[in-house]
Amino acid sequence: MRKVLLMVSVFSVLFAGFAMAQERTISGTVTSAEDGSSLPGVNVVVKGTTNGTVTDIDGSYRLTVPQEGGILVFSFIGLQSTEIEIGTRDVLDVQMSADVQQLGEVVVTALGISREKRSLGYSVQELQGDAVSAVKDGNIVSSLGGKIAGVQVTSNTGTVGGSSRIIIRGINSISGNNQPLFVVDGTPIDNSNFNSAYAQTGGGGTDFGNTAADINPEDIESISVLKGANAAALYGSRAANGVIVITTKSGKNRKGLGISFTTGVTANNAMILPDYQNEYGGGYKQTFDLYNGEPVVNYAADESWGPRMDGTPVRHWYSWYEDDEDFGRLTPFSPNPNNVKDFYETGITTNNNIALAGGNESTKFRVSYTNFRQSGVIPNSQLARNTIAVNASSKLNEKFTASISANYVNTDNSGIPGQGYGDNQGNVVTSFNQWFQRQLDMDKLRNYKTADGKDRTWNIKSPTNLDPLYWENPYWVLYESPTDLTRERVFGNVSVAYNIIEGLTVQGWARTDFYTDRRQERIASGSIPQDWYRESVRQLRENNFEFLAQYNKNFANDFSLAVNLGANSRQQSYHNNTMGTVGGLSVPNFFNVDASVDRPNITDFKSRKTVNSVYGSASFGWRGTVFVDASLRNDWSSTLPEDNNSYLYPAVTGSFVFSELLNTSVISLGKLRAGWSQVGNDTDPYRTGITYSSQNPYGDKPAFAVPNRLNNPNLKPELITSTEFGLEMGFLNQRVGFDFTYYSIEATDQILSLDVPSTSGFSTTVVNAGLLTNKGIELMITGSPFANPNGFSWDIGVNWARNRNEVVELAEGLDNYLIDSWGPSINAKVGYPYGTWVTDGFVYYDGIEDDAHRIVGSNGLFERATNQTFGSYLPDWTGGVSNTFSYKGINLYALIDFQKGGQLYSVSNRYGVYSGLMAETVGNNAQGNPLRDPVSEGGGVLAEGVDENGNPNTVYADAISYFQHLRTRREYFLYDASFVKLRELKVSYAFPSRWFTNTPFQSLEIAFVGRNLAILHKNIPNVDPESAYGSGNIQGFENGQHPSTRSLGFSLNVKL
Amino acid sequence: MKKIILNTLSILMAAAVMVSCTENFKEINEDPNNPTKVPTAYLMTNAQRAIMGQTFYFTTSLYVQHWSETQYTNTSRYETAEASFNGYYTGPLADLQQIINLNTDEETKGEAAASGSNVNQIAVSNILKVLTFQYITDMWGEIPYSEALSGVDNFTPKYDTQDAIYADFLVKLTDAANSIDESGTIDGDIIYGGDMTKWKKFANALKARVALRIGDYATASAALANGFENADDNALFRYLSDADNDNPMWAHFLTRTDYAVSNTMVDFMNQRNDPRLAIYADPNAAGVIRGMPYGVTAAEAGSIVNDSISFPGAAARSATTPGVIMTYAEQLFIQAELEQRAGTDATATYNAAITASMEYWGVDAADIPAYLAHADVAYDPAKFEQLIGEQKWAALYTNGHEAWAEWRRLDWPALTPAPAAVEGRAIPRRRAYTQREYDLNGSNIDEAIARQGADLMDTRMWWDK
Repeated sequence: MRKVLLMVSVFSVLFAGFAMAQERTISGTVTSAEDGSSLPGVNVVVKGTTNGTVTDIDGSYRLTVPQEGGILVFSFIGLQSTEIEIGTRDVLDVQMSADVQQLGEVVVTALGISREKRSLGYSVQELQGDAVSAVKDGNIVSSLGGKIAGVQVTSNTGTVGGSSRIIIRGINSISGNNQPLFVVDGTPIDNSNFNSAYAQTGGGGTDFGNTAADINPEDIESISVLKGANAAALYGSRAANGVIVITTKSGKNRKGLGISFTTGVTANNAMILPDYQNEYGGGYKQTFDLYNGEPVVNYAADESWGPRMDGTPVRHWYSWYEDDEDFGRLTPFSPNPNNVKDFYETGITTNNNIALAGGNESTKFRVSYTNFRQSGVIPNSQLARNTIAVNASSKLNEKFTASISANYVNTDNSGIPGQGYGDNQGNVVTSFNQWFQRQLDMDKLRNYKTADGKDRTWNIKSPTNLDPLYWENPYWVLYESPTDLTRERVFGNVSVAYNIIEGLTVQGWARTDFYTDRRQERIASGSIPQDWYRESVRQLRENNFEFLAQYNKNFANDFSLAVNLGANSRQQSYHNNTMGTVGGLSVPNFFNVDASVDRPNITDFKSRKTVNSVYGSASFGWRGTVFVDASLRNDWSSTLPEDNNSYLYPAVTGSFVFSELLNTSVISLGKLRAGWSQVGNDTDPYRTGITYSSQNPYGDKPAFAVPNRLNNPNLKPELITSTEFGLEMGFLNQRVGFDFTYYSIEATDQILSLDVPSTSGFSTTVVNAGLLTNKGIELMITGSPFANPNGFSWDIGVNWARNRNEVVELAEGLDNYLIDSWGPSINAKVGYPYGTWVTDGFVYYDGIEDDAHRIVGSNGLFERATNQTFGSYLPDWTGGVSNTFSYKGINLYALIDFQKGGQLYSVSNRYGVYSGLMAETVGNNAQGNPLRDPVSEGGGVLAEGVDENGNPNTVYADAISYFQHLRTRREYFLYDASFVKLRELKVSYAFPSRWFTNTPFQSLEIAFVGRNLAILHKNIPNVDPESAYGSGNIQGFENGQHPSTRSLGFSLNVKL
Repeated sequence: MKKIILNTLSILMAAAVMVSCTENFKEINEDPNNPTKVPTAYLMTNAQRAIMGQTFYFTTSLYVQHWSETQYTNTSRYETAEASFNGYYTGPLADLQQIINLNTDEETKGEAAASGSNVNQIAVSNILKVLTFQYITDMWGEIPYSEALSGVDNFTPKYDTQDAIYADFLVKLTDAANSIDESGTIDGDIIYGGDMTKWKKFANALKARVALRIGDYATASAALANGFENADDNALFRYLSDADNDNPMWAHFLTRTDYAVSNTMVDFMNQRNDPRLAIYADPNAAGVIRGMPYGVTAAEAGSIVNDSISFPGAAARSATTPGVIMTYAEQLFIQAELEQRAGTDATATYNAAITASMEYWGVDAADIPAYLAHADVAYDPAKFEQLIGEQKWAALYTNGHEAWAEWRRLDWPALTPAPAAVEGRAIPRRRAYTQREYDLNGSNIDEAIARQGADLMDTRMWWDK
C-alpha cells in the first residue's frame, strides 16, 4: 500500500504543474482526407505560442485559445501540416492528407495508445487487417507466420481446427506459457490449449486447437506486434512473451451505405504424402500360408514385409465377408499405389462476411457477421464458425464518450480425427504410415460396416474370427467414433471516457472474455477398445476492470509530454467438468455418461486467480528528435504466498531520431533506439499449499493420495529483464529502409515444477530457480524498386530473425529439466538451448559424426549409444519474403517463409521403415539384388559405416533386421526441420472505380488465393517438417502427422 | 481547476486502493479441488490398491515363463533393461509414509486416530512398506531406503546396500508385530478388513519370507511359529468387478490378447499330470491345452494364431481374481525348506504346501494324492532345492514377483532363456535404473553401481551371489 501512495503522489506532482487560465475554447475533430477515419495524436497548436494539445483516440481536440482567435496549426508526422484561421468559430473540423514528403507512421502500442512510431524506443511491427484476411486460414495465429521478424509460428495444418503455436523472441519460461498475450480492442483474449501432454508428444489423443483461433480475421483493422517486455511492460506479467494487439474495424463518419460483402471459397488437398513402396504386401515373410489349401494373406500382420505383389490369386481379407462380391474368391495380390491418397478427400473452405459500418460526428458503429466453414481432407471432419461483431461509440456530450465492443463466436468442430501414435481414439494416418499392408484396396474398405453393424476390417483376427485385431477399418473410426467440440464465446468491453480538460482524459473499462467449451469423445460399441464416452465442459472467464488517466501536452514544438496512470483488476476463473464412462456403455452406442456401466470418472476442477495492478508511464519528447519513456507497474497476485505477492517493476526506453539533425535527401529516416525493462510474473493457482488428491473409491471406501507434486509455501515472483537496441534507417524517401534490432533477455527466479527423484516420495516440486537467456537479432528490409501509383509498382519486404536460447542454470544440483518425452525426450539442459533432444544414437568411429563413420557390429547392424544429446527443436533462424506487384488494378502478392534448423523426431519414418511401408525399404543393394532377398542369396542391406577398426562395413544384414533395429537408433529419425514454403499467394483485380459511378457500388475486387502451396525445400522425408500437436512447450514430435493441406480458391469483395 | 485535479486524484486513489486490496487473496488461492485434510483411512485404502497396481507381475510372470507373449515378444526376449520404480515411491510408499507421519506428529496424531489407534496404523503401514520395499529391492538391488520418502528434506537420497535394507526389514517387521494392539482395528483396510490379529500373523509370515531370502534361517524359523495358521490368513487383495478396481489381467483381456500360457509351464505340468493345469490355462479352439512357444521372434510369434494356443484360465484372469500378496501355501514351502535345512524331514510340510496350493486353486481333493506320488513330484531330500524350487514356481502362478525372486535364489526350475533373446541375453536377474534417476540423483546411483556391479539385467542381487 505504501508503494501505491508513493506512486500516486509522484504522478500527482506531475499533474499539478498544468493548471492554467482560460479565455475561450475551440474544439473539433481531425479526420483523414483519404478515408474519413479519425486521426488521434495530431498536434494542435496556436501559431506563435506554446499553447497546444493533441487529438484523442477519436481524433477530437479541445483547446483554449485567446479571445481574439489566431491561427491553429495541425501537424502530424506523415501528414501535411495545415494552418487555419480560427476567426470566431467555436468548432473547427479539419481533414488532413498524407504528406508524401514526410514520413512517419502511427502504430498502436501498449494499452491501445496510438503513437508515432518514430517516438518509440523499441521495435514494433504492424500488420493491416488484410494481411490475415486476404488469404485466409482457419486459425489466425497461422496467418502471422513469416510476416513479422522474430515471430515463429508452427501449425498443424492437416487437422481442421488444429493448433497453431506462436513464439516471439524465443523461450522465456521453462515450464510455463511462452506464447504472447492476445489483446483485442484492449481485452485480453484467452489462448489456452487443453490438449493433454500425451497428445502433444504425439502419443495419441486429439488436437482441439488453441482458443485464439476464435478471433475473426474479417473484423481486424490492424495487428500490432509488441515483441516483448520493452514494448509491452505496461501489460504486466503477461507481457514478457510479447503482445499481439489487435484493433478491430470500427465505423467511420462516412458517406454511402457502408456495406461490405466478402465471400471466398477454397479447395484443400493433402499436400504431402509419404513415398510408399509398392512391391511387397502385408505379412512377415515372402510366402503365403495356406488355409484349407488356399493361399491367404497374413491378416494379423500390420507390416508389409510380406510376399511380392505379383498378382498371385489369394484370399484377401474381404473374401471372408459374406456381403462382399469377392466372398469366397481368390483375387490377385496386386499393388494399390494410390490407396492412401484415395483415402484423403478434397476439403472445402467457405467464408462469407457481411459488414455494415457507418456513423456521424457523434456516433459510429459497425456490425459484422461472418460464417466460416471448412471440411478436412480426412473424411467426416469439419468446422463451422459464426462470428458477430459489434463496435459502437457515441459522444454523449462534449465531455463523455461511451463505447462498446462485443464479439460473439460460435465454433462447431466435429469429427476431429485422432492424432499421434494413437490410443483408444485411434489415428488412421498412423495405420497408413506406420502399420499397414501396402496392397490394401481403399475401395474395399469404404464399406466399413457389415449389415449387422460390425466393423469390417482388413486386420481380422483369423478367417474364422472377423473381429478386428489391432486396427479397425479407418472409416469405422472416423464415422463411428467421432470427437466433437463446440465453443461459445463472448468477448468485448464497455467503456466510458471523460474528458476533464483539454489533454486530460480519464477512461474506465469493464472487459470480459468468457466461453464455454464442450468436448465429446466417443468409442463406438464393437470397436477394439471398450465402448466409451467422455464429455468435458470447460468454462473460462477473465474479467478486467481497468482505469486509465491520460494527459498529453505539447509545449510549442519543442517539448511534448504524455502521462498515463492506470489501474487494473484482473479476475480469472476456470471450471472444468469432465465425465467419462467406465466399464463400457450399458446400451450400445448410447453416448451418454448415464450409460456408464461402472461409476463414471469425474473431474471437477475449479480455479480462481486475481491480479491487481497499478501502473504509470510518462513519455517525453524533444523537437521530434529525442524521446524518452519510463514506466512503473506494481502487481499483486493471489497465486503467490501472502508475504511475496506484491512486485514492482520498471521500464525505460528511448529513441533518437538523428536524421532530424542531418540535412540530406538520401537519408529520410535515421533512428537509434534503446530500452531496458523488467517484468515480474506470478504462477498458477494452488501451488503453495499441501493437499490430497482424490482417487476412485474402492467399493464404499474413499481413496485419497498424497499428490506427486510437492507444493512450496515460499514461492516468490519470477523476473524477466529485457534489453533492446535498434537502428531504423530509411533512404530515398523511404523507397528503401531497414530496421535492425538486437535484444538480450534474462529470465530468472523461474517458478518451476521441478522433477525430483521419485524416491523422495514426490515426482516434482515447485521452486524458484534458473536462468534462461535469449539473445537475438531481427532485421526487416523494405523496398519499393518500382513505385508508380498509375503504373507498375513492386514492393518487397524481407524479415529475418535469429534467436539464441540458452538454459544457463537450473536449480542447484540440477543440470537437466525434462520437458516431456515420447521415446526421445526434450529437455531444458544446462548449457544447451531449450528443447534439446536426448535419445539413443549411433556410435561413431573416432568421434567423427558423419554417416560414413557409424560403427557397425559384426552382425551388420549399427551399434547403439544411449542417452546422447542432440540439437534443440528450436530453429536457428526464421523469416519470410513477401513480394507485391501491382499494375493498373492487378495485384500479385506472394509470401515465402522459411525456417533454418530445429530438430524434428519423426515416428512416421521410424515405424514406416520398421513396418516395411516406405520406399526406402525396397530396391536393390550394391550387389544388384533386392534388399529383401535373403542374405544367403545375395540380398540384404549393407549398413553404411565402419567396423570397430575403422574399416568399411562388409557385412550384409537381413532387411527386416536392419530396418527394425533402426527403431532403437532413434538418432536416425531426428531430422533437420528446415523448410522453405510458398505460404501465400494472391492474385487480385480491383475493378476501376469509374465503372461504379452512378451505381451504389464503391468497389469490387476478385482474387485468386492460395495457402501452403508448396514446400520448396525440406530435409525430412515423407512428412512435413512443420509439425504441431498443441501450442505449448512440447514441440518437435511428428507421429502419424495428418497430411498438411494446400488451399486454392477464390474470393470476392464488394463494398456498397 | 484545483477541484478538477483533486477529483482526478481521488478517482486515482480510489482505483489504486481498490486494486491493491489483497485481503481475499488467501481465500482465492485456497484449492477447491483437493482437500487439505483427509482421514488416514483413505490414504490406507489408496496405498493398498496402489501396491497392487505396481507389482510388475506381467513382466515377472513372463521372465519366469509362466506366460508367453503372443505377438510383440519384446519383454520375453528381455529387450528393455530399464524399468521405473517411480510409481512405488510416489504411489503407495508416499501414502504410507504420510500415514506414519500423521500418526506420529503430536499435532496431527489425535486427529489421525479417528481411523484406528496410532500404533496399529503405524504398524500396518510399516508392514506394507517392507512388502513394497522388498518388491523394489528385489528388482533393482540397491535402492534409496533409509533416506527415502523425506520430501523437501532430501531430494538426493542415498542408495542403501541390500544387506542394510534387509536387516532393517527384519527390525521393522519385528517392531510392527510387537506393537500391534490386537484389541483394536483400523479403517480403510482392504486386505484384512482391520483384523489386527491377521496383520500380526502376516508380519511374521512376511518376516519368514524376508529372512529366508537372505539365508537367515533361524530368524525365519522363529517367525514362522507366529505366522499364518491356515489359508484363511492368506494376504490377498480382493479385486472388485468395477473397472476402477478390477483385476489388471481382466482389464487387459478386455481389449488385448498379449499373454498366453507359456509352453514351459504347460509342458512342466503335463509331464506331471498336474490337475492345476486345466485351471491355469484355457483350452485352445481345438479343445486342447497348448502352450505358446516362449521368447520367439515377433515374426514367429505373429504367425501363431490365437486359436491354436491357450490363454490363462478364468480363475487367473476374472475381474475379481484376487491379487496374491502371500499365501499359506507359500509359507508352507518356506517351512519345508527350513525344515530340510535344519536337517529334519520336510516331506509332510512339502506335501502340505502343494496340497494348500491345490486347494487355493480349487483342485478336487481326490486328484491331489496322485500328483504328490508322481515320480517328478515326490519329495526327495537329496533334490530338495530342485523340488521345492519347481513346486514353489508352479504354485506361485499369478505371483510373478515372488516366483522370479525364488527362481533367482534357488535357480530352480531349470529355465531355458528365450531362444530369440535380444543380443543373446540370459534370463534377467534384475532391472536397470531409469535415465530419469541418473539425471536427478546421479552421484548416488554411481556409488550404488560401484558397489553392486554394472547397471545391467544380469547383475545379481546381493542375496543371489
